[in-house]
Amino acid sequence: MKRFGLYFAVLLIFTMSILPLYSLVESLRIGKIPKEVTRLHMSTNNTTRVLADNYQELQQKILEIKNPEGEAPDLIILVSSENWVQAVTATSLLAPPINSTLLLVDRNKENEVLEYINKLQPRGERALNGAHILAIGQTAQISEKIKEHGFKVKIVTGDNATIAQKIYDVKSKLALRKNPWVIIIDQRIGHSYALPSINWAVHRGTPILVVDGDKLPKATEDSIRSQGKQLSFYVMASADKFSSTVRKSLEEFGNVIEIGNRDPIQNAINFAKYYDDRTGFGWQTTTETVEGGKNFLVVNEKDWQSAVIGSQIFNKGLFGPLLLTASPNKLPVVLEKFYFGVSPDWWVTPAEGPYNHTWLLGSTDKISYAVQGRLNFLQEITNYENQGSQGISGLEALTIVWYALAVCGAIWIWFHLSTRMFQLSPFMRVIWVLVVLSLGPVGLWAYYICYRGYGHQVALGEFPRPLWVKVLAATCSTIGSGMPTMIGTGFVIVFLGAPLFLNRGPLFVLTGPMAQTVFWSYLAAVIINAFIFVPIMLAFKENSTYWGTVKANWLTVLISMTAISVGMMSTMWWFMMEYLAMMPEEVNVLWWGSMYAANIAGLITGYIGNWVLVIRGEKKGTM
Amino acid sequence: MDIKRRLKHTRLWFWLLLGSSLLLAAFLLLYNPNYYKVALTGQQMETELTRTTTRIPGKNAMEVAIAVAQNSYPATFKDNKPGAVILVPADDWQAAVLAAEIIHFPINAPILYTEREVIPQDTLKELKRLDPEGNFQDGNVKVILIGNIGEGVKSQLKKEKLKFRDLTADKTEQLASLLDDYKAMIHANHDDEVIIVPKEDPASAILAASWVAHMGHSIFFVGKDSVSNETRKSLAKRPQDAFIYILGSEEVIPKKIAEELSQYGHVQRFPGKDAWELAVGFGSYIDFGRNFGWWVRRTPRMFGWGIGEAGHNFIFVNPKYPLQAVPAAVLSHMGKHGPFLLVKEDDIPDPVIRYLQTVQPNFTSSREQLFNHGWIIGQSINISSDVQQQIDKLLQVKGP
Repeated sequence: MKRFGLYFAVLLIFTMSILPLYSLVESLRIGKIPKEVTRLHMSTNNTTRVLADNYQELQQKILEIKNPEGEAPDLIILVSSENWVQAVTATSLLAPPINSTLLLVDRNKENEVLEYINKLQPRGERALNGAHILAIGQTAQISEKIKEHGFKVKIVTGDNATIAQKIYDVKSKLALRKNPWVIIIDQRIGHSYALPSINWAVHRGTPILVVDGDKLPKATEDSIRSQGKQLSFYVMASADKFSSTVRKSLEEFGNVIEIGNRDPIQNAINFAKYYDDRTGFGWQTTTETVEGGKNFLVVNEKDWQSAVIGSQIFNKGLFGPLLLTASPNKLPVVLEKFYFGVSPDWWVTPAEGPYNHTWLLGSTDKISYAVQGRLNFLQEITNYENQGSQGISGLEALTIVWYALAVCGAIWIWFHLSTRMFQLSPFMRVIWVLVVLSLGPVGLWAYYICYRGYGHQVALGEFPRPLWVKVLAATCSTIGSGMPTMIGTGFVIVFLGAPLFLNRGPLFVLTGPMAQTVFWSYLAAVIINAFIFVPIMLAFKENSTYWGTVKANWLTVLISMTAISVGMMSTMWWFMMEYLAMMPEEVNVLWWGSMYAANIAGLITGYIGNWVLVIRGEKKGTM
Repeated sequence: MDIKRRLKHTRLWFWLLLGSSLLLAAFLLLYNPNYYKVALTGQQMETELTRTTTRIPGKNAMEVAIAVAQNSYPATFKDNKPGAVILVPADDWQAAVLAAEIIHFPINAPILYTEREVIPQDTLKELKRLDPEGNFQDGNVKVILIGNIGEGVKSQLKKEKLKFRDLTADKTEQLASLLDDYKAMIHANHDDEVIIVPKEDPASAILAASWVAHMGHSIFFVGKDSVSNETRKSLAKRPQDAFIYILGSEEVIPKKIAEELSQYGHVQRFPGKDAWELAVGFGSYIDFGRNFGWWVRRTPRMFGWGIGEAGHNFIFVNPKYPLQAVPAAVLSHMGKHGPFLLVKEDDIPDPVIRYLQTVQPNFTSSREQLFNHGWIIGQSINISSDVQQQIDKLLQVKGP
């Protein structure tokens, strides 16, 4: 009997100390997943994918979205698919009020370009003397052919910086610019640092100028000088990568701010988060701006062509930052963190919005389906109180801290008990460990109150306490075995799926899952306590048979356990059914949070019940 | 005090504990689940996209249901799988509308269609892809059968070792009451708010589906001349007077019925003289007030979408195809919760246009803008590309 009781107590200790960890790990788990799945289509609730095998195909798809039948652009911009600098600088011409469409042109693919132009039928841009086409850089070679088809072509050639300068000029002609924003990209350090700027440029038309490593090209300097006012330069590079000589020369004309980071992924995130409150530049995608919805365009960092093509649909009606991923099969950790940080919460109802949405470009070779599924999950709108699965809300953080305190407290108390409290029966010691595991710091306090200052009485094993401490000790002796039993039973029941016996009569509540869980947990606690724990505990004190002890004490146990359950179960019920908008499962950290809250309530009601028992002499409370 | 001597007999325990805690801590720190295991094979359908709308295609209702389930549940790891799957006969739109009641948490289940005696291949395949976790409030059942479903399906599920809950009933009214009671078991309460929908007018009745998928309230069907006994019994089960919302014009649910229902509680009717207006009326309707409680604490009630501003999502369905429309209710359960709006194959009715104009976002700032979004349910023969384009224009941010 004793041995069985001891094993059972160890099981309870295990329940209270390891199972919360199991829940924590389980809530992050992947579960059983097949290697391959098939689907009918590629959309999910919070993501849209423009399916295409390569950027040429993507271009066709994006144009269908941007210029559906009957909606001709005023201007078509042609850029070579071999020069990312020119393509990136050209994106500022896509912003409203200009109504333009950009085409990436492959070498020797003139016919395809002509086909597109004929299909789109540009109407001519008045500010460019009615030009239909703006041919940039290498694409000037095909301008003759286009002219043959009766379209007016304007040509922009030169080196990258010169082209950027000319685009800046065209831009100034087309739209009045009031703000002092200029984006600076460095053509030496590669496209992945420059890419995030295009989603801003297509939306706000901010000019993008080019520097070349340590050199500030003359064309760039000229175009800055021609503005004749103080500008704000936003540099798409980290401070340590950006040349200090260029910085110095730029400072002459205004503020220079390096937004970027050494890591291209983080670089894009920095840009998405950036906001300059003096000039109003930047997306400020942070928790400050959660009142607005967020749209993101996610592209593989190697695929600048897709990024330039795709960014076009983010120019008006829909806009938001561009983010990068590195590997097709995994979302970078920093990006995952960023998404978690800005995922929407709801306060009254999930219909209140706003919602976040991500567009993905290309096939699953570029960005895998698993990444899409993860992105969909990360953007899900969640209840503020519990932050959804895998999110850690304030309540969950409290639960984890409470759990840690309980475990540390239990370890400490165990050492204390086994080095200082020899005369306590082994069973009583285990009970105290369980009390601390159930009540956390409150349990530690109770232990301290019950044994403080009785050092010389330890030898007797009985403590002459004042009444209120006697009641506390009596309550704790029931709590130590009762609460872990109830929690353990509840855990097993929910783990197996709470039973629901369909009952259409007036007593339907009683056969429902919650009432069943409560009932069986309560019953288990009463039985375990009355038949195992109490007889063992008292066997050290009283000269009585096992059945005699059970008979003498079962009513006391019942009353004490009922008193505890009243507070515990009603709090648990209220917490799970009313307070939390989403009922927690046993694998949610908040399930344990509800239990810890319920335990404290159980201590309070249990204390009241035990007061009566101690006064009437049914319980002693001196052990 | 000879602490060393006293500690002696716990020394082993001390090392054991220290070791195991370090091991645990290491495990937790290094625990790095790989959420990117699953790969996609096969060919996917082209879906028609615009800036603010996405079409969810499907040749027939069964395929639309599958497509919608795939939209809501990517099933790439445990947390984006459903809790269960609801199977409804593919020819019973009324059962489908009722089934939407149990989409909501804690059940968390999409609707798939089945034939009465056999689960079709595609549905079974999707059921396996979804691989539901089990409803923890009902013995971890993975499938819930709704409507009049035969033994064939049940034995098929047994063979597949999928635990199911059988909520089948012959008549629609019986089914409504059964579902109401089933949900009451889980919530330990019959919700006071109920929706009354017309039996003969699917266009009005389907509008309830997206709301209950979002909030889990009960739906009851009424005919033009009478309220059935089952419905009366269910209404009387509310712990106090019910709050009854009528989703139908006076033509399909006459005044007489509304008055009869008022025996069971407070009755309100959504505004709209036909289904087109009703959809918009429900979308913008919201009713606050008192609900259940005593003395110091009374919970408030809040009923209706109440969407009158930008930043929302709408599900566009053609009421000619109710069976296609209803499974799309899952879209207002997760992701971008939002009401059904009704459109025709090649035309957006005026009330819908006016409503969309009201809630259209205006450009305010690049950093904190509200956006609208829309789902288009079905192929272009159900809702044409042209209509989709028009809707897109109405949902896009106006300006800058």
